[in-house]
This record gives sequence, structure tokens and C-alpha cells, in this order.
Amino acid sequence: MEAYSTVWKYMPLLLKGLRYTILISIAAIAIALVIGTVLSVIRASVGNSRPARVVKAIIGIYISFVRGTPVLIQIYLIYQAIAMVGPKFSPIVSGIIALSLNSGGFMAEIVRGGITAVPKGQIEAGKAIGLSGAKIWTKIILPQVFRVVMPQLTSEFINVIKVSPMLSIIAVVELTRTAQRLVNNTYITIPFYVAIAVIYFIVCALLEQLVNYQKKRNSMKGGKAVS
Amino acid sequence: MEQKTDTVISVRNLSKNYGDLEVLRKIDMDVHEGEVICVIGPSGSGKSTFLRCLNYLEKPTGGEIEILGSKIIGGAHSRAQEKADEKAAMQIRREVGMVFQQFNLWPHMTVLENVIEGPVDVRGVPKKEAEEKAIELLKKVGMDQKKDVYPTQLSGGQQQRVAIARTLAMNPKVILFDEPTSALDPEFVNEVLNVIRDLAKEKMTMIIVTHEMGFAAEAASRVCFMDGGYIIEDGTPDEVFKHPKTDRAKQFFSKILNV
Repeated sequence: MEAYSTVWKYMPLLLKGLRYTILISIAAIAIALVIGTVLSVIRASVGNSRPARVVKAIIGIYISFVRGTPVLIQIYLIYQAIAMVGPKFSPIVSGIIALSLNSGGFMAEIVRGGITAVPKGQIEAGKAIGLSGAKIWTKIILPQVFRVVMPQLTSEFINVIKVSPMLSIIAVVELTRTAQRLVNNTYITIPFYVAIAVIYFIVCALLEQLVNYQKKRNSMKGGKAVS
Repeated sequence: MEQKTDTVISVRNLSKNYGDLEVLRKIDMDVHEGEVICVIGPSGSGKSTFLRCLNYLEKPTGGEIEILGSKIIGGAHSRAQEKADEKAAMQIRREVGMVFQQFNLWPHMTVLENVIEGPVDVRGVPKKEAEEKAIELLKKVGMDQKKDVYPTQLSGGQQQRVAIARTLAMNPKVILFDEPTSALDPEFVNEVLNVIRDLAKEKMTMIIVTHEMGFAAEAASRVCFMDGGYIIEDGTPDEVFKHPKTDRAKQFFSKILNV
């Protein structure tokens, strides 16, 4: 039990690590959501001309790559690639970019599924009344898409949080990395891992609750499209 | 070619193919202001496709459509022409409303939000002004009590009346109805037809694809009978229903009226 009081003593350090975990996760989720949405809108709206097919193929390759290679390796490669060519980014920024690109690929697939679920008549009603293509996306299609895919997106949000410990490979000191350091210094192992497991669990559970609350509010505003 | 000054829609040689399947074959039609045209005919005769070509929801594969000065040219042509068609279509859609068989109200918006969407986002009407006008229109179709309700909580007939109000909110010069009562339970058919009858009295120009023969006979100023992608009868309800010129139409009516 003494070990646990040691853990408690180091709680401020762990919470500082948690701050980074949350910061990185929120940034990555937000950017990934933009990437996922933009890519699926592009894929659904460019049509079938020759250049459009090239664009769609590139997006397809990106998504396959992201989904078909280990996150750990993506994080490492992106860190190295940025270090080689680009400006000097901190590991945190590089980590956020890696997680965003990774999760963006998954979200693109999720959003695409939602787009195909919107009945054609919904779009035709928008066209018939004279709405521009952009307005049809922002006012008619996407609001309905996000309602339908919210459960899958939530899983993906949680996934980002759970993947963030892998950023320790590029020396980002977030929650897990902090715990590892403390383990090395104190020789106390299991209590630290139990502690951060509980912390991760609380964060993810809170996120889920937040989304559920939002969903309930939405479901009071009528259901899905009929027909 | 006679071109009355009050012609709002002029269709020439309109064709539409899906691959080898010819859905519309060289259709000619002029629509004048205030006309209420019911388009009738068997399923698969091209009625809905004809209507949907008029506001470019379907791209014609041949012929021309001119509506209030904007022209769509059908058929294989350049990218530039396609752009011009799309531009014309946007212009046409501002002036020509459409009511769908499946209503197609937007489920994530309230009744009121559905009705003001067009005026606010297409015409740039201030929200407050659009809402006042919307409530007026909802009153007209008997749906003002439900303005804050979401569409899924409404019956089919109520949804269709809201859809009509949504179309009217754009101040259309013409309204296209694509089988407006076909998806309704029988008990709700009349409440929708009554709204359309009222519009007819106000001399709204309308093209109505319908299977309601009684309604067509009584409310239309002109009836077009389509079959196999052609308009084979075109005249007053009396001419078309009582004295059809073609055997196909005679046969069709005899089957229906026997029921």
C-alpha cells in the first residue's frame, strides 16, 4: 500500500502528463475530423473525369496506407520525415500531425459511409430549391451525416486517446511516458500503470458521456430521414 | 412557330436516354402562364423524367428547354456547354419549384427551418422576414401550428403540405409536382389536392404528374397523356378524357374507369 501512496505523491506529475495527452488528443481529433470530412466530400463530389479519378486514387492510397501500417511506424516515419526536410518542429507538433493523419484516414472512411446513407431525395430537394453545391453540403448532407456516424466517430475519438501513448517513441512526455519515467525512478511498477489505466478510463468515459448527451439532445429533434 | 408572349416554358425535341433505353422521345411542349397541366399516363411512360428534365435534376440527352429566358441544351457537348447548362439550371431552379412524391423534407430541420432555408440561403432574405413569410405560407397550407415540429413527427399529408409551403416560399413562377399524392395514405390525399386546387384558383402555373384522374379532370386546364416517351394526347380535360384520339389512351382509360 505504501507504493500507492508514492503514486499519489507523484499525482501532480501524472496530471501534467495528462494535460499533454488531452492537448494532443483534442488537437489530433479536431484536425482528423477536418481531414476526414474534407477528403470524403472531395471523393463524393469530384465526379468521374480523368483528373477526378487521379485525385480519388491518391486519397484511396492515403487511406489504405494509414489503415494498413502500424501507427507506431507512422509516428516514427513522420517525425523523421519532418526532421529531414522541414522546419524544426517539436516532437509534440510532429506527434499531433502523425495522429491527425492517421485518424483522418479512418474518419474519412466513416464519414464516407454516412454520406452514402443520405437519401438522394434530400439532395434533390436542395437542388430543386436552388441551393448551391456548397450549401447543400453544409446545410443538408453533412448535418445528417454526423448524426448517423456519431457512434463510430466516438470510437475513433477514443482510439486517438488510446493511441497517444505511442508518441513516447518520439519522446513526447505525455501521460504514459511520464508514468514510465516515474517507474524507472521509483522502481514501483504496477501501481503506476494501474493509476494511469484509471485515468485513461475516466477520460474516455467522460468523452463518451459527452457524446451521448449530445446525441440525446439531437434525437429530441426528430429522427433520421425517411425513404 | 407560334410563340405567345406569356410562354414560360418552351420544350423542343426533348430526348432522354439511359443507354439504349429511350425514356423521352423528341417531346415538344409550350407552357403558358396560369396553365395547370396534368401529365398522366402509365408507369414508365416518362412522366417523371420529363418533369425532372425541366429543372435539370435529369440531364436531357437531346433537344432544348427554355424557361423564363434560361436555356438548357441537351445532348453530348462540350464541358463549356455543360457549365452553361448548369448555370441556366441554377437560374431556372430559383424560379421553378418542385414538390416530390416522397416530400423530401429535411429531417434535421424544423418545419419552419425547412421553409425558410431557400429564401435565406438562395435569395438572401433576412431570417426574420423569411420567418414571417413562412408562417403566412404555413397558415395557408394549414400547418402553422406545427412550425416548430420536426418532419418525422408529421403524417405524410402534413409533410407534403409543408413541402408545398417550402416551395412557395421561393415565390416560384412555376411549380412542378412529381406525383405529389402517390406516397400518401388514401385518407390524406385530399388535404394535399385541396392545397393544389387553391393554387390553381390563384392562377399559379403548374405541371402536375399524377395518377389522380378525377383531380386531373376537374382541376387541370390542360391534360397531357404520355406513353412510351411520347406525349400522345394534349388538350383540355374534356378532349383528352372524353374524346381521346389515340387507341392507347382509350384503352388506358377504359381499364382505369372500369375499376
